[in-house]
Amino acid sequence: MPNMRRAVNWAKRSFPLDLDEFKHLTAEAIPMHLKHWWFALGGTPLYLFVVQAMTGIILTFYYSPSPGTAYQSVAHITNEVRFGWYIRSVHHWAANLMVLAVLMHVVRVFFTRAYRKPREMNWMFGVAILLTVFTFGFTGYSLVYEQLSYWAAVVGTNIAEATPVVGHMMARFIRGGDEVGANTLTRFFVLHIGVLPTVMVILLGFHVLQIRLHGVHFDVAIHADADLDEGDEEEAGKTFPFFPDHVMTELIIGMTLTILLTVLALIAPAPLGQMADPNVTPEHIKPEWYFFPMFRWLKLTSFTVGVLGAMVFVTIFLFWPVVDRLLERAFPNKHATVWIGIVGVLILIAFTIWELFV
Amino acid sequence: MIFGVLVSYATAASYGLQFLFPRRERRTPQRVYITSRTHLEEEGAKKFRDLRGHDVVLVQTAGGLRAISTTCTHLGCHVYWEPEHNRFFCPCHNAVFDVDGNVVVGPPPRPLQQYAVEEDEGSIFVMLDA
Amino acid sequence: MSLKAKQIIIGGLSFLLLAALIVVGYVESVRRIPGAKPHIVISSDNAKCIDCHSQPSNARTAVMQWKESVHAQKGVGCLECHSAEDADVDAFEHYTYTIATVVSPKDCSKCHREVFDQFQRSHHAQGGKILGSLDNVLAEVVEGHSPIVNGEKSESAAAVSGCKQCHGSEIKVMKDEQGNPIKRASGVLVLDPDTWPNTGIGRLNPDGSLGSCAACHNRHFFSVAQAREPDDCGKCHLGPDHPQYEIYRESKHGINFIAHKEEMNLKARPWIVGKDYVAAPTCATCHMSATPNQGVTHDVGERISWTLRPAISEKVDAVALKAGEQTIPWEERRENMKDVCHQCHSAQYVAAFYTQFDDLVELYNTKFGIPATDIMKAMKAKGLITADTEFDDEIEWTYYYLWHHEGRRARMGASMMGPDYTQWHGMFEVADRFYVEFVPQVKEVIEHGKATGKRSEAVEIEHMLDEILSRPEHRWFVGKMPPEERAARAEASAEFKKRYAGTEK
Repeated sequence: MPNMRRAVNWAKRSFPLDLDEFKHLTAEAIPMHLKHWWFALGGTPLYLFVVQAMTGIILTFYYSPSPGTAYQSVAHITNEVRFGWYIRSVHHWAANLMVLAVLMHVVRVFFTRAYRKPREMNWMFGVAILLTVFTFGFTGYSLVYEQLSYWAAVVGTNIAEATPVVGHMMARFIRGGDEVGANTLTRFFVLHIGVLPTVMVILLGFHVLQIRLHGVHFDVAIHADADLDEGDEEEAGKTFPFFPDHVMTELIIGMTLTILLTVLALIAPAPLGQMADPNVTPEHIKPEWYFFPMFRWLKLTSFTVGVLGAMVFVTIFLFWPVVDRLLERAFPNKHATVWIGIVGVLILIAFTIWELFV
Repeated sequence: MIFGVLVSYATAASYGLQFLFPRRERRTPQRVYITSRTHLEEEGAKKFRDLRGHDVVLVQTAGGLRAISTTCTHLGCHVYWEPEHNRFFCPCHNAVFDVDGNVVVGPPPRPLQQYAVEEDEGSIFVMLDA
Repeated sequence: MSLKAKQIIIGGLSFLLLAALIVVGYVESVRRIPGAKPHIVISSDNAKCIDCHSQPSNARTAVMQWKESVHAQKGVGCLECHSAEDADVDAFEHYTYTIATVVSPKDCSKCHREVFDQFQRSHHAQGGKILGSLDNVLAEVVEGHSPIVNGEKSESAAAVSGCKQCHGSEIKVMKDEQGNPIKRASGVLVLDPDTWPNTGIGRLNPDGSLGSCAACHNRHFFSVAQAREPDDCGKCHLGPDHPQYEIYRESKHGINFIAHKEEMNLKARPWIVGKDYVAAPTCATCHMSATPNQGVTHDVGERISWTLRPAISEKVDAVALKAGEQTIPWEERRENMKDVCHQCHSAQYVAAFYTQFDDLVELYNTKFGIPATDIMKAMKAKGLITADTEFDDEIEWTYYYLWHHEGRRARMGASMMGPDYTQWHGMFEVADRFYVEFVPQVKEVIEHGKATGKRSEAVEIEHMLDEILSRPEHRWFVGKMPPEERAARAEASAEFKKRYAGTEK
């Protein structure tokens, strides 16, 4: 049809791309080690972020960010809106899985020492993304305006207030006042649907850009005696095409995640507890599970020591590439970072489990 | 294979779309008590009632009691009863309705909606539709 | 992993995903509550009431209860019931609205016209007219103290908190010395605390209507399911003088109700016995509720044949007939009741039951009710006991217990298949009261009469008593059981023992 061809030509003129270039991109060679599923842990949270963005946007069609109506609107979504329970449950579980996936990604990057030169800055972007994800979780959970939401916000902002020097100012800014109230909810809402997504996209942009520029790190030392599938080339240096092979891998990951989210939504739909009551603190408040280590740590020492300790931890974590280099120089070939990493992970897991059962 | 992927994601997307379309609210027909006969003394007297979604004016006419909706049939503005002119007036596009709700002047395409009125032992009820 | 393997996996995964999504779709479809609670639509006037009365400690719970009610769903709000005319005795202005605290059946009749008519003509509505009855003497004179102050009779606390809570008070507005209604600082009219709170079923309301719908349909839920519960009637229809509730609970009907309450479908509308539920009848089932042939009636007398209330039972239309009034004949009322029974029982079963019931009432009447009443009337007429003061003679109490307490228990036990109440709480105690207390006390009155210059009157009563005690049913008491009868009883007893000899363990 002549009109079809005219339309296509018009599109081509509007975007004068070089299609050969495009074909070259899709045929891009991916290093062989990326066939290892261990390396999919970066794409997983990215996929889940997209899921969150989509479910989050449509949830916003019904959510009302005012203390008098927030809980009601969530109840309305859960009980009355068509597939409301499903969309909300997917959003709930994708949040949890995203945190889990990001943490596993951090562990992978840490233990493959992918933060080393020249990727130090990328590591810091990654830490920033991790903190953003935590903030997403914190603000999002508070929006439900259940008892736990409200009191988590109170406790969380009070902890922030304990930060030396800037604590009070920070807390007043987060809360929008001296107490958690209507302003707080509005601010959390704006953060959750506006500020944080923008920050996240920018950080992710830089993160992915740096990966594209540097390539995915491959540590020969680790993979020296790795057992790859039979029939695969074992030496580093061989590659496989982006399209269709890698695309299919990503598709498998994506579909598995979607199935997992749907099954979780079916067997464990997002719960809705009692509505927030500023006059009644429930007997057992706990934050979300990914804050358990921090929560448990704060219970062990005095408040100021606890907060300072946490800040020190985060700072060391942020500048780990520097610390790692110092350690390597001080204890050559002793794999100090690996040991510290193992101990660190074990402590975090132990604190999480401890908090879970007490 | 592609087909399978597309179908399953399209199903999920359709759920998202259905999510965005609110269910129809089913309202049972309501018989709402407005006032009693003793409060409607003379002819032409009216009782104004805001029923949260149904604005109703009760008008005593020569032909009996009428319950008239005060939602303009043009674009939904609220019409005002003007006792000195014995008419309904819509400020949005200067429409005028007479005491029976018929269009006198202006863009509205049809008369004001009327509701059934029931009187029971001096109590006046209006039947709001489903 | 080869490309082919990946394709197969993706195919499998898309199938799994589709299956999971189909389950989601199914869950969604069964979750859709078809008759989801419609949003409550009320007028802006009512919204004003609700805004203020939703504050803590401001009748908030009434609003919360109302929100769960059918009234709320149908747009019947505060003003639909509480608004009043300026001319009403108990009306007052409250934030620009003219309202009254008390909602009478007349107010409810705005929408529930037929129920109102049925109820106003029923015996329930007459409950408040207890003034002047014997029971009221008890509460006001015997138990309590109601002196006349400033020309007005004050209330006995026994009546206010006791009798009238079931029977109904006469609601009065509190007035000052000038006769003006007293209002609180908020403008709310003060009602005489001797008369309000009160939800008695025969309440005399300021607007002249009788009764209170809230006596059975508790506010502010006004739930019909709650009114169908036997417990509801049991607020008043229980106790030593009319234990209908206890009798029901003893009976098989009551046992079935408790055991199968889940299947009673109490919230159904309509609620037709034999159709919507078959497990058991409740009070409402027999006395009021719909059958396939009858509609609901709030005139609880429409299915009653005997009146079991007075000292001597008669058919329920007897009083009206004597007064020359038109009323539903008792036979028709019995047929109405039988219609209910027939939903579960055969005609022969029901007829035989009524024979048992009638026989017991006749037994009580003939053996105890009529003789005792005759003697009491005669003693009063002849001045052997004071006729103008009730309850000052011991025999008056004895007689009262006889017919008002155990006499009623026996009859009511028979009416509703509660054998323990018919026998041990009933006829046994009737007989005990009659032979062990009443008869000796009559003899005392006779002796007293002879000793205080009323010899001839006393002898007349003596003759009356002798005649009664010589009757076939009473003569055993004075040793006059004929030898043939005695022998026949002994023989029957021996024969019985022989038949079951050896079976006793």
